[in-house]
Amino acid sequence: MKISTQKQNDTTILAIIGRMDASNASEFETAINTELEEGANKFVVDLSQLEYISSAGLRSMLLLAKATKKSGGSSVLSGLTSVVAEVFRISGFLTIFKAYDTVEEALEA
Amino acid sequence: MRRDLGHICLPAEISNLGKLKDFVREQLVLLDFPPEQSLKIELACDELITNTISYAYPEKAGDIVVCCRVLGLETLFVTITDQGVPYNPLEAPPPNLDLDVDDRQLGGLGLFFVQELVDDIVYTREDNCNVLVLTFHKDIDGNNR
Repeated sequence: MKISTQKQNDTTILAIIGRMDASNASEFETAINTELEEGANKFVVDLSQLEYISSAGLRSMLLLAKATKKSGGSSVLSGLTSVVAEVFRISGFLTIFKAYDTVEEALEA
Repeated sequence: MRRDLGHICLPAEISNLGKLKDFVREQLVLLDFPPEQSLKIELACDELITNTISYAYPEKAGDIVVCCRVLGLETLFVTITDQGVPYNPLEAPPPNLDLDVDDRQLGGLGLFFVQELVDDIVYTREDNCNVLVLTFHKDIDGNNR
């Protein structure tokens, strides 16, 4: 798994690339915490290159949602595909996160 | 007749999750399971293996064994065994999926996924081991379940 971080105006775009499970979800949590500590509170999580996610990954996503809600910010998703989209759907997480087709659409929303 | 595809035995540590899953993924490739279904099977195994790694051995180190068998070319049986504390994951309470972000609990989803993704699952406690047998029928014609 790789995480790339990018800034656009006041929004932090985190792209998760590869496979996310209990062995590496903490890396995402570290990336989130670094951003939060620097004052970021608007996030787009780009999942278009995420092939696989387990409940450990969802747990990290939920931590992000809880943190941004607490600080009055926002966190949205973009580019969910295939099995990743289904995992978010069956877990009810699409009622927690707004999901957009692309990063551009997420930024405009 | 069920044919043995082999097994892998490793210390129940999170650093071994990838290797344990790779073993299952290799069998799925050899058996030509569809890619999307293979990801779902990996997910079901992942959640149970992660659960075992996290909870089976609270006081001492121990191993986890993952074994694959096949019936014909269409039905895969994955057996996950540990010698840890007795625990039947099938008795875990289901998570509430309707809560909003403030009330949503951080745990409980993994075992819910397992129930959604397997065709059959059986837990037994035998010879001081927790034994889980997961059954998956190959999707034919790319049908998504």
